[in-house]
Amino acid sequence: MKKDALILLLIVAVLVGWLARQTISPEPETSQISLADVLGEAPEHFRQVTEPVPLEFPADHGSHPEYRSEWWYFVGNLDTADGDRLGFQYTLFRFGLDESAPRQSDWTTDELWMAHLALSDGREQRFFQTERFARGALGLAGADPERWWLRDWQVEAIPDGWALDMDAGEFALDLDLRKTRPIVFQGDQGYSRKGPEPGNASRYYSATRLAAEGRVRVDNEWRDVTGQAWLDREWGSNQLSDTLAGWDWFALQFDDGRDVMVYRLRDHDGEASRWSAGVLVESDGSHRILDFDDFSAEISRWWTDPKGVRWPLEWDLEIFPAELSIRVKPAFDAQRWYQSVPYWEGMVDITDRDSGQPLGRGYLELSGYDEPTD
Amino acid sequence: MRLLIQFSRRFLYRHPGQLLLALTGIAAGVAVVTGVALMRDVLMQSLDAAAEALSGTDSVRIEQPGGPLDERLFAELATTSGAPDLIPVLRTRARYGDQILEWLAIDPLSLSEGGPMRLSGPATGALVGSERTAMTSQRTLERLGLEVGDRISVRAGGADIELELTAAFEQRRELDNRLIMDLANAQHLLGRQGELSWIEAPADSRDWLEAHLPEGLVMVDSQQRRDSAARLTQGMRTNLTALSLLGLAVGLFVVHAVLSFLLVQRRRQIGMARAIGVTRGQLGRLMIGETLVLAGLGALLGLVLGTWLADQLVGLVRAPAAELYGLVTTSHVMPTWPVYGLIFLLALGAATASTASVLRAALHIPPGLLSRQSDGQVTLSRPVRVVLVSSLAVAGLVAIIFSAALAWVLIGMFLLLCACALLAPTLGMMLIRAWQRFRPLSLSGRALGMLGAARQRLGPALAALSLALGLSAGIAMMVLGFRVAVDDWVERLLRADTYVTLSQGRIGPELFDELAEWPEIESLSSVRQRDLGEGVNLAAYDTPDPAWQGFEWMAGGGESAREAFLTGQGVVVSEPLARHRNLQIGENIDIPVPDQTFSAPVVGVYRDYASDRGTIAIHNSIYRELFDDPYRDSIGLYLADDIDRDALDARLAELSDAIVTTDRHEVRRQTLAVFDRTFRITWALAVLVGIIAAIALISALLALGLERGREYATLRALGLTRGGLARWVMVQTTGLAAAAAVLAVPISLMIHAVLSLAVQPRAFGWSVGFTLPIGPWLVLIPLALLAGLLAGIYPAWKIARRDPAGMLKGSS
Repeated sequence: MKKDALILLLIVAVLVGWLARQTISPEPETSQISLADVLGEAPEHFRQVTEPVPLEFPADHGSHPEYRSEWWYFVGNLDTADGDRLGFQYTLFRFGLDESAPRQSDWTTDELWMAHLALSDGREQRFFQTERFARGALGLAGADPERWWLRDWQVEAIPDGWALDMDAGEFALDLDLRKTRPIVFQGDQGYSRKGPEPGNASRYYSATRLAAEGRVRVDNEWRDVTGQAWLDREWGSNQLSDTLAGWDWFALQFDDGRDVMVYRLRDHDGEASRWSAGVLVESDGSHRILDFDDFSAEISRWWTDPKGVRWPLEWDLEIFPAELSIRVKPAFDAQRWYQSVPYWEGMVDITDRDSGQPLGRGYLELSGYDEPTD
Repeated sequence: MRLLIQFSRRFLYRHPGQLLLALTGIAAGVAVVTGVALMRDVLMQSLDAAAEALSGTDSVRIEQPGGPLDERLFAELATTSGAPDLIPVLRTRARYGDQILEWLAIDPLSLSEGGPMRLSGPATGALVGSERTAMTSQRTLERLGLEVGDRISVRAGGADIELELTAAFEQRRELDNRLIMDLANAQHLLGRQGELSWIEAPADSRDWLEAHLPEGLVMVDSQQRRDSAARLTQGMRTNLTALSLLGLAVGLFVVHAVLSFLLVQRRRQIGMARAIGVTRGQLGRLMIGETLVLAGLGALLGLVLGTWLADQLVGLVRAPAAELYGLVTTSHVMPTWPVYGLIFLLALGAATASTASVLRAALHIPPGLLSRQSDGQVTLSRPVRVVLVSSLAVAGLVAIIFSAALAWVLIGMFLLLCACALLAPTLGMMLIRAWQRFRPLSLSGRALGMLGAARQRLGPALAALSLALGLSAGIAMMVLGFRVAVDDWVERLLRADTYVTLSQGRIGPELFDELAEWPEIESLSSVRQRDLGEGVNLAAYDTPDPAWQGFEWMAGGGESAREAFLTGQGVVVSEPLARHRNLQIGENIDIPVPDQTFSAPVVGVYRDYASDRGTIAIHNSIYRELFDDPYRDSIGLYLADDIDRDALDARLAELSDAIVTTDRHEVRRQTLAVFDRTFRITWALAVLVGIIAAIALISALLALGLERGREYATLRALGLTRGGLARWVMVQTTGLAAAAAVLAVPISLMIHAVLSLAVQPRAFGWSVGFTLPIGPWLVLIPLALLAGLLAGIYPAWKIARRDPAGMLKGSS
């Protein structure tokens, strides 16, 4: 009799199981974009960056559609009136598309725009991230000298800086960022070489210290904030040679008024490329370019994200001309992007490597680590 | 209790055939109900499927009533502060061969990160970058026999357009039968620059949209879209549901018949159990438990079968949904637990209810009863039966004749069928006794005589069989009669000698003016169609004399109507529209025109089977003025006598490669092909009901053959040979089937009449003349007789092999 009951239960289980399978809805399909691939070889009709050319403002704040890729990159550390710490990132990317036949439609486009907006909540250790795309048509996205936008996420030029206005639903930014020192041209007058081939270069300038003031909405509450932000602007066509796997980028603002940016380009073995470089900005606004031999960067801690990808989150940096020996570590680990482009970008603290004394804050970007370890 | 369960188990193990029949009966009934219920859901969701794929369930749709949406609105909204994620959509229907697909053009870059659909980088690149790139679901590719990389030619917006299928969505049922394209490419290929059909927005953006939408635009939420699909398909769904419930009822009859039969077999055991102290309560619990286990297992099997069946039915309903309602359904159903749960409970409840009388009879078995003979079940006395049948018939007729609501007509038909079911056993037995009188003393006559005495046992079988056969035949007669009506209508409507369309789409005014000059063409008719929403169609006609005569007037019409029609002082409407809106001649009707409303009195109501939501027809010149649209969809050419058609075709071809001519007979053939596709689902359900009827037939006849073992043994003991006994059994089963078939004739006539004269006008809005196609009778009656004969073979063989002495002693 038990056997009968067992058989009956088994039949029922099989039937119910089959029915259950019919009711399951599929997961949304997603895919990821490798930035290193996008920044690799570009079709021939795009111009290449091959030599220094003087940059002109405000014209060069706008887009350069003759080049394959371009970005407007804001990051910043903010403090609320009641002492909480926040970090933000807003990036607008433009990618030129391959040439195609003209179409009778105003949606026809030869540009794809992508925007990344993130907020790091230091107290709760939460990382909010939102990604958007738009085509360069019908005024949905674009960048002219006065305004950089994707749909309703807008950056507008104001005297001495830019005003950011973005609402991602879950959080929003309303910030005025004002320059406190002159724009810095990276490389040779903004001609930043990234590899041996002609065209392995970009136009690159930065505003390394922007005084931030405004408000941030999180948990449905607007909070007044102040802090310091950073702007990177870059464009080119074949920036990265295919020997490179990714990069580690540091934007550091010291309490003594100095700013340091270094990027460590990595080849596929994880070794630093000789094309790695940076800049040291003094508190009076003067700057000097850092080349490969001017700094060293060693990983001191790895973090494994929930997907099993390992990211080097703590670094020991030596900036020889500045006599700086520092440790860079994240305000918290989970500041990883899970959208179309997998990367880690988050607010970091700078401490003296020997004494542990706090020296400043900054932002760290890690790219090209998205191969799962198992 | 344990002992009782053992007792039940042993008994059921000894009768696996009966067990299997009961399981099959309930599974078949539940399968039909499940199949139709899931298919209904597909119909309801079809207006919403695309939205669900793009922006999730419960999205809001921004529309411009009566016309396309200006794409600049999208840009304006999307760049306004706080804008939600919006998806611009341009929709049209595309025909690939005889399949209708929904062509959805979107901006793939507007798909939101949290939304249900994300395209891969390469897929987005291909969609945006290549002009003719389209994507669809893997299942659609398989169904159409296509592969990724194939180039196909579809007809959309009146033009032939070549597309390349570059990728397939693996798992997305919502995208079945949909072609996804980039908006820029679609606007370019369709010549619809600047237009959007609607904008999708997430459900939680309603407040923001209300604050920011310009005047004149409407927001339609998913519930409204589902309601809209429900209204569109109401007639079709109600009909199919009614049929499926009848299927379940016949299935339940099988359960009832089998359980009653098993009871008869168990009378002796039950009597003994009662004698050794088993209480009525214990016995009741045991029997209810048995029924629930049997019904539960059967229902689960039915749900599985029904899910499979639903996918097949969706395949059949796809064409009518697209042709009649412009709804593109998915290829596969999307079942949910609530639907499954509800049907499961319905099946358990109905099975328990249908066995209530069996249970009652079992509980009345006195302790110690050792006879297996039935001492008769509870039956209705003749006067009660007469009153009941008359009341049911009168109530049914009243509901059918005096109610305007479809549901009441179907209830009325159900009441009439109940009356037939009550009447069928008496009439059937009278028939059998009448046949017996032909040769009362022959073997056949005696066999029929014995059958005639078993009214109580055979009554339910006769009722169910005659109803199921009548239902199948009645539906078939309605469809055939309707086909004749449609054929007549098309014949009358198509007056032109040949019809001209353009392969690249709409026809410009130049071609019409040019053709008007040709001496070989006496006059031109034309039509331009426009969707007014909710399935209502606006048709703008050029109507020379012969074209006007093609209208068959149900009300109004005539010369004064024509005068009003030509001058814009009146419009004519199709019969379905007049019925749905209860329009009378002289009543004003509004037509939404961009920025205004055109209003004119109805001057004629014409017969039309093209759309069950209805059509408003106005004269082309008025249409051009109102809508600023100089184009036509097709032109009818009325030729002078003795025109050389080949020469005309050559001249037309010379004028443009894009001209396609179709002669009247071809249009008629195409129309009837659409009709036939529309009714494939009805045929399929009629066949399903027929199959369940066949199961019922077999179970009833097997029961008849096997149950009366004792009588047969007596006959054998009295000297009837084995062959004689076999013939005896087969005469009985065939006689029963013949009686059911004869009773099915008037029942089918009644169903045909109710469906054609009452259901069609109420469900679809059109009236259908009553004709008498007898083809279904000629098929069903011989089939029933054959089934009766075949169903008698097994019991005949089995009984003939048994030992008469053993059977006389009472063992089974």
